[in-house]
Amino acid sequence: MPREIITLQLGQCGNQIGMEFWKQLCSEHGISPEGILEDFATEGTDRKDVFFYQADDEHYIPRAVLLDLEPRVINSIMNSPYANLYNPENVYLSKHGGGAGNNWASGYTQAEKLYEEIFDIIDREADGSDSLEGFVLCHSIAGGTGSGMGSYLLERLNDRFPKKLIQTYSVFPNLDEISDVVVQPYNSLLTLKRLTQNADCVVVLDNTALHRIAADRLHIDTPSFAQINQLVSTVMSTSTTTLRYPGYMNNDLIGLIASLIPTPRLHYLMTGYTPLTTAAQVASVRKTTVLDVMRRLLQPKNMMVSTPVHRQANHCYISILNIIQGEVDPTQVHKSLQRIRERKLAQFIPWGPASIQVALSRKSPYIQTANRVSGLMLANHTSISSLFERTLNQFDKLRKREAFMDQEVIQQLVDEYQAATKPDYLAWGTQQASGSVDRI
Amino acid sequence: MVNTRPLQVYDDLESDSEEETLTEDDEDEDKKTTKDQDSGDFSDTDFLGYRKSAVQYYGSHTEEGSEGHDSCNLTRDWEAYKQASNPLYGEPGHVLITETMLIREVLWMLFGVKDSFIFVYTGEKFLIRDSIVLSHLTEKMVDSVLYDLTKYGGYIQKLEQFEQEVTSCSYHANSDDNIISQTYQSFQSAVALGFLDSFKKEITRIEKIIVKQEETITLSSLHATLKPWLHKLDILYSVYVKGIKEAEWLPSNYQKSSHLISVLYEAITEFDALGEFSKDVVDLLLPLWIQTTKPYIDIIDNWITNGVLCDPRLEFIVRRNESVKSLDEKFWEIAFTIHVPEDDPSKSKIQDQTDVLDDTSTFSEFFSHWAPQFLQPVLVEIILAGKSMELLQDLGKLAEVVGHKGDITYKATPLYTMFLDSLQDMLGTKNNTKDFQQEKTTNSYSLFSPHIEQQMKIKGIYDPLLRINFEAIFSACVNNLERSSLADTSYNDWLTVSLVRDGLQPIDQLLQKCLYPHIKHKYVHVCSKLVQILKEEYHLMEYLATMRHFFLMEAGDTMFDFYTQIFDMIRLNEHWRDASVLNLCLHEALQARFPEEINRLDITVESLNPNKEINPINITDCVKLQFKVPWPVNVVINSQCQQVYNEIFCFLLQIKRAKYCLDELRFFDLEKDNILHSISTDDITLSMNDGLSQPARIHRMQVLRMRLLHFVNSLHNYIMTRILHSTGLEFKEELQKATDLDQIISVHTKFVNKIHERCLLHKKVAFLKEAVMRVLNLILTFQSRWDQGIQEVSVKTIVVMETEFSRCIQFLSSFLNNVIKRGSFPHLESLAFALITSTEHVVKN
Repeated sequence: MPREIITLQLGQCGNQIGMEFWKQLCSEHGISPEGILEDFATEGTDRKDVFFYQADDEHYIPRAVLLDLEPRVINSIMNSPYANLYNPENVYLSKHGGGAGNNWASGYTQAEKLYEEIFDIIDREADGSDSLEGFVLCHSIAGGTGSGMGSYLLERLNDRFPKKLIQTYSVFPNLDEISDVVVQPYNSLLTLKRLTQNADCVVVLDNTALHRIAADRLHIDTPSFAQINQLVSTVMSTSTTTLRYPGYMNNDLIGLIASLIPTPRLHYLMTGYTPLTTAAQVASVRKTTVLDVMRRLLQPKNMMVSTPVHRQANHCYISILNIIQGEVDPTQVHKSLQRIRERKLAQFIPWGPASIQVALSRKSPYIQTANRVSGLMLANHTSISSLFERTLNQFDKLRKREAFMDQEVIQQLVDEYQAATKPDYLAWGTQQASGSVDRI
Repeated sequence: MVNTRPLQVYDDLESDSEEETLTEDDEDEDKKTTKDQDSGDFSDTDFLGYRKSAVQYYGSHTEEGSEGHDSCNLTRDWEAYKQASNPLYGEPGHVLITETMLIREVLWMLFGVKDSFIFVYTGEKFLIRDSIVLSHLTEKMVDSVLYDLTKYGGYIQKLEQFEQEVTSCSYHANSDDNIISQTYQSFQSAVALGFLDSFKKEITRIEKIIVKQEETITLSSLHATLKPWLHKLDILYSVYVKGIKEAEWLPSNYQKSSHLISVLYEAITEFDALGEFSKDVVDLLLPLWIQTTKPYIDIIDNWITNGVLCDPRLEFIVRRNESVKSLDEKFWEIAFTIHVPEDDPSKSKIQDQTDVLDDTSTFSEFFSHWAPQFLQPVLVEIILAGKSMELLQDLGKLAEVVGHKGDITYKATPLYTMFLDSLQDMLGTKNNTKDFQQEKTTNSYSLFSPHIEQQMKIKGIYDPLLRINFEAIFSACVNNLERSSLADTSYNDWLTVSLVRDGLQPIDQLLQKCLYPHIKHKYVHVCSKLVQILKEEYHLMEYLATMRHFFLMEAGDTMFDFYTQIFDMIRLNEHWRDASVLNLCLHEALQARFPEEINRLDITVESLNPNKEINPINITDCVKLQFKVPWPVNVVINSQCQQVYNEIFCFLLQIKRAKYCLDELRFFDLEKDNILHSISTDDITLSMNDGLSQPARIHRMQVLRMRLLHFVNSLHNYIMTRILHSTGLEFKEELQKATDLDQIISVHTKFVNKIHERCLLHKKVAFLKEAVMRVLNLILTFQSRWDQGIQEVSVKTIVVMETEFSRCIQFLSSFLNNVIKRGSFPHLESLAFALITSTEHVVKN
């Protein structure tokens, strides 16, 4: 009786990272692009049924729903070797194929019109699982389909499956580059509102940081989308590894993220991964130990979210979850944790426990990795608010004078994150008594 | 001294005729036994003829002969002088005898004749008849010489008596009370064959010399001739007294046997320590000891080689407990009882230890008292090997250890023989360097006579070739005799064990070196085979893994599927406390990954104790896992262990439930608007809550949730990784190293107990558990408050929960902090650390 997770891939970006994700899962579980279990993988003790189900002919089929308003990316998937992996009924392409034109409103209204068809698919998937844990949404917040359609789906999913977990992998736009999409701040802000109010957990994938990491850490001058998506799929697959390779504990998604999220809105998570290597790179010379991995994860340069270093920087960690993969002795983990706490390598909130959780997981036996130990960090850090501030600033530039409701919600979010850096956060609700009433 | 005996007519007296015939019978008997070896020129008839013609001095009256020699008149002169000097001196009625007569009587006495004229046996010792007078010696003089000899006569009597007892008992072996043990029997036969026989032969030889009347023998020269013999007799007797007489009060045979063997052994090591001065004593005692231990070693051999504990006389230290069937899970612990003295004050303690033979160190200590001393270092191995053999027999795998591959007729060399062989090897190689010439001379000795063998030994020459010849001849002999009588075989053994030592090595070490490797070898062979069979054919490792998978929830996903179903039912107030419902859940969960375990794992629901106050956290305590462990694996995983496993399971279930309850909390459940609460009541609740608005209360609940989550996650992490995972890894490693079943059992028990203790279930840390349970309880209360919605939660309730939690966590962290500062519980460090960091902010503010 697995805790199934249904993946929803929206828009160009969502489908691209989604496809990389499924590629990664297939290779980790020894499933061929056609969905057939490879001969070497028949004896595995992994749990494929969280993300896959088996068709009548024993083919593994991802619990994935692919949605887009324009055909380019989905067509390229359908022309790839993985074309037969997906359930074709779960691939929905808008008939006119015109896309959303990078317009949030267009995506939102189109999704509204397609409600019946989309939820036919989602309901069918949900009915096909024994005990659905929740949904994972992949999208970008800047474009039209991912943001607009994503926003709409978030709202409806909440209505329809109120008890189910909704986790999103949201790609934030690269702010170092001048975007060709003029309304990007609009789209971002409108989506952020829905993410704040309707999602349970948002894993922030900052394109700015991803490019920086690709350039600095992997030494790729002009990283391609595929290379960036490779990073994303690594993060996505590692964050679900404890569900797929059952161990002593952490057998459900909610158990993992519950302690990361203290209050309903502070649910934006940063990620970090180490050691990062590309396929071209040969085995690195360094020896990976648990302490080494955990220390590296705390370094800002490994974070997949770019946050400017503030002068009055009193930003701090609210909570941390480290997922360590590989052959690890638990005693080492405890020693490393102690070392980190003693040396105060991480600054924690002053009003609550310094929560570093460590989940141990096996590695896929079918993928050879150069490193003995690797680790993913999911962290709730108050500095993520700078990302929202950035969006707000851009939004302000765009619409100087006119008031907009959604702006307030995000402003509150920024305020709360900043309040969380202070010891008096405990009494925060009292001052904000009036603030929370006027939510939409 | 010239033999000038007065001849007297044979005066036939009724009263003495019996005595005479008895003596004669004894003589005859002895003559028959010694006839073969007797190479003297005396024929039977001559000897008897001589006896007939002997002077009858034992009549009531004696006539004083007239002597030619001055010294012969000493007594008479002395008497005359006394009569003359003392008018009141009354002439005592005395019997005048000659020294030769006296010597012969002494010899008879030493031969073991009870009734003689001069020496009166009182049942305890020999007394000298008062009226004995020698013509040339004073009474005092005679007494002083005879006193010593009568002592030895008494010893001989005692030994003979013992022999009588043993032989008569062995004929009436059916009588239940006071059966003489085999050890006693072999001791007796060793004494008889090793010493008494040759001693008697020596006496016969002397007597023949006397009868021949060709040499002069006086009392003192006799005493001097016999001195080395008497010395040996002395030692033998002291061994007898210490080993047998002093042990008479002991109630049972195993104590007696063990006592005897130990006393002998001690005597040997003691004399051996004296070095060259007591070489002959050691040479006497060593074969005796080796011979005496034969039954004991045979019992061991039979037990550890063939798996049969054959101990008809109950003399072995270990006894099969008949009431225990071999298919019992307690088999390993109680099937064999080690004898413990009944009157031992520490008896109860010892028995407790017998019940749990988990610690090998105390194991060897506590029963050492009644094991023969020389066996003590290997006793544990013996017992383990024996038990393993029994188990193998019950498993039907005996053939794999006993036989040789494919060879049905194969028979293992007896342990005793191996012992002797290696003893000879040890000694033999040393002597190979000796002069070849001398060996040749020894070869010329008659091979058959043990006496010559002893002679050869005295000269300190040892010839292995000779030994081989001996063995060949004697084994042929024995085969001819078909090993009919005990005497024959033991005689054979006796010959093979007459050994020469170089005296360079302490004898006890030598013996140990010769015996222990054989026992250890068998032990290793048997035990490793058993372990191998258990692991390979009875899937011991798989069962142990199963215990960890389900009881300790190592199979996280499967157990997760199981318990979340229950927790959901509890949360929804469905009926769940039902064995069939729970079993369905379990089997459904097992279906995915462990379909083969479905038939073995079951759940029973215990009825709740109505008297006990039940906290919400305790309602899952009634769920017990049942795992059907087949024999013989249940020797390792017994029901006692399962109970401990179940306690841990129960505790884990509580933690998992608390964690699950917190994980499943949804923010909107707290914030939801209760329809029953209209806007109008809002003011009332607000006033009730000291003006703290609803969002503020929501926020406090959310923060409290986070703190509780951190606590339960830390605890959960600590238990699952630091304790179960780490200890599990250590356990697996140790299990690989274990060579015998006992080690496996003890490693497993240690593992279970360690986890039990570290999961705070031990009595010592009950107060810690208490605090933890209060927090877990609080979590469940918190969960139900949360689900009711914020409008039902007043500030007061929040404050109560907050203070309760703070108090518990403060107590735990300060206590654990002290503990780790002391460093007494290193494993608690990580938990302590997690809790301390969770209270740091409280301290700071």
